[in-house]
Amino acid sequence: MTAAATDTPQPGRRRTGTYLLVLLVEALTITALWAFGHYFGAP
Amino acid sequence: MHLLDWLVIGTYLVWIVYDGLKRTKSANEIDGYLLAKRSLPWWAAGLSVMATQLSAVTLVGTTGQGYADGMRFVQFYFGLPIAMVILSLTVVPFFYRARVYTAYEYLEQRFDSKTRMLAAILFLVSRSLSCGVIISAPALILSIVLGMNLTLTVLAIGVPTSVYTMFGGVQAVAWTDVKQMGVIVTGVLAAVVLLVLGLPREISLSDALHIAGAAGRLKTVDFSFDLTTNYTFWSGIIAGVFLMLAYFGCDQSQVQRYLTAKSEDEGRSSLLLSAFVKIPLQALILLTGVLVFVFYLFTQPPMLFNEVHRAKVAASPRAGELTALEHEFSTAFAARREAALATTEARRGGDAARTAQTRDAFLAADRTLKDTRARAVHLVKEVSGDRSYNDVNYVFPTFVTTQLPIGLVGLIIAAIFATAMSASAGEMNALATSTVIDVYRRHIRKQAPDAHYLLVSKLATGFWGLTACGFALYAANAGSLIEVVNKVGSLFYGTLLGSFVLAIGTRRATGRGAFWGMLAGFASVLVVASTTSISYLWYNLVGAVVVVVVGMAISYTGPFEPRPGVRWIGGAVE
Repeated sequence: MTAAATDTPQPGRRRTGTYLLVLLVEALTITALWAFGHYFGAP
Repeated sequence: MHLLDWLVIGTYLVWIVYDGLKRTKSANEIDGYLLAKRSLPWWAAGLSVMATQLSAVTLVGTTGQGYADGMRFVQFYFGLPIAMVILSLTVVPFFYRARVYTAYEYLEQRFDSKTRMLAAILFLVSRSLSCGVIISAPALILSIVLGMNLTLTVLAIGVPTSVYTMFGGVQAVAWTDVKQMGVIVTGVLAAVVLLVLGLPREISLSDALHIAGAAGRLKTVDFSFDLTTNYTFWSGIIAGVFLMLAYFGCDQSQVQRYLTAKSEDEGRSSLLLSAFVKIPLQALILLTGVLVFVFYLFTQPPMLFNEVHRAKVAASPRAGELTALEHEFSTAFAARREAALATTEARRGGDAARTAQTRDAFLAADRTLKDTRARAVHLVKEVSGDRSYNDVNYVFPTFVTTQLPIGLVGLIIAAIFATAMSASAGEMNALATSTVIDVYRRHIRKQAPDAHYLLVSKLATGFWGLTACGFALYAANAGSLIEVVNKVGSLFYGTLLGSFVLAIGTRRATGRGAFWGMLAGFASVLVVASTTSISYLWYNLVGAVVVVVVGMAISYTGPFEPRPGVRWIGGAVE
């Protein structure tokens, strides 16, 4: 029912750009959340 | 609740069960039943990943946290996008290329059967407990808020879920998850719109947010480094990464979601969907709780949100104390309302000194109200004997059933059902898969026709569904629901994560090292949890590090006999 873990790996699509985009979006989201709290007077 | 609301809930339940059962035909082989023949598009697998994670505990508990504590909890998810990138680069390709049904199968291919069995047992124990909690938590809340029998609410969640999961398999779970995510997001957005529309005419959304900010509800990022505080930037971004790596990378209930995707690339994309969407979605749910707080600044809330416990006190010899506290609460509420209006007016006027003065008066009034409520909660604890009484999780459902218009009440209650059903369906499906693949097929009946394993898988799903319902009926309401579930998971997750780090991240680790490393990791987490006040988020890091250190130390003391062709992240293990 299953093949072995020894299958020849097929090279996956390089997604470096997508991964960097994920990290950039996270940084922007955290900054936006911080700014949101700061603007509305969070202590 | 109005008849129309019941109709909405009934229609939702029938629609979901019908939709799930439609998938029975495509689940007539084991590969279709457990992995949907690896045919799902990335967005469906991705929504299924999100729906499995978003339990009712998350929806109801998170809005409650937003109401009582503000938006700090969002930091819990800061590690998620980083974890998703790491998983896309590491475990996703390994699981796809190994063509496994469960994550733990890979551990046997890399190490040995006892390591796989230990990991599978840790998963089965932790997830069977949490599956019960996932059903019992919302069932208890809905039974109190809707005035229904607890057994009925448990069965209303557990039975339809068990039926469509048992007959439709993973396809039913995934496609109903997609619809349920739609119901959940629609419900949350409807609540936000109605909360904004429900503000007094003289209070704009900006005014409301400034008041929430003054009350400390909008503090989202806390840069202090304190191991005993649950939610800070650092606990989220460091400890949170380990928790998310363990949950999405080693927990079969999540691994199985993305293994249903068409290809390795689509599997990665399904995880990256959460990386983009999860933090904003959680922020929206927390903001909903914050808006409920603002709403109740101008509309008097109940002093105690759990009506059953309130009734117990009212029927006790200490009912007089409750009446006095309720009178005090009403007076404190009126004072806080006036103070909130005064601080809004002062801020609009642009007079900094007066703004600061009215803001201090508002905070003092808020403290008085909180103090009165705290004394009422203490009274409930004394009378009921329930030392863990905490009604924060009742805030949002109480708001929905008492303040929203007919029809929308039904929609949002259906959304709470949807969160419970989607999360528990994923758990039942994964528990059954691990039971059949890691235990039954591996140790009890190694060779049998496909139809036999399909039948056993269905029976196993039914068994776990019944077990979850049974456990849910007896599960106690203990403290904050979110933390209970996460704490149980955190005791096991670090250990599981450590075993996969050894398997994928090192060349030299052996089965003996991995097995003893896992036992040492689990023991160390138990010691840390029972003897220190370190926040539970850090347990995963502790467990994973101990597994890797002890595992590698033991591996180096014994012979190294790699299996031919087995791979680690750096290439072949040779």
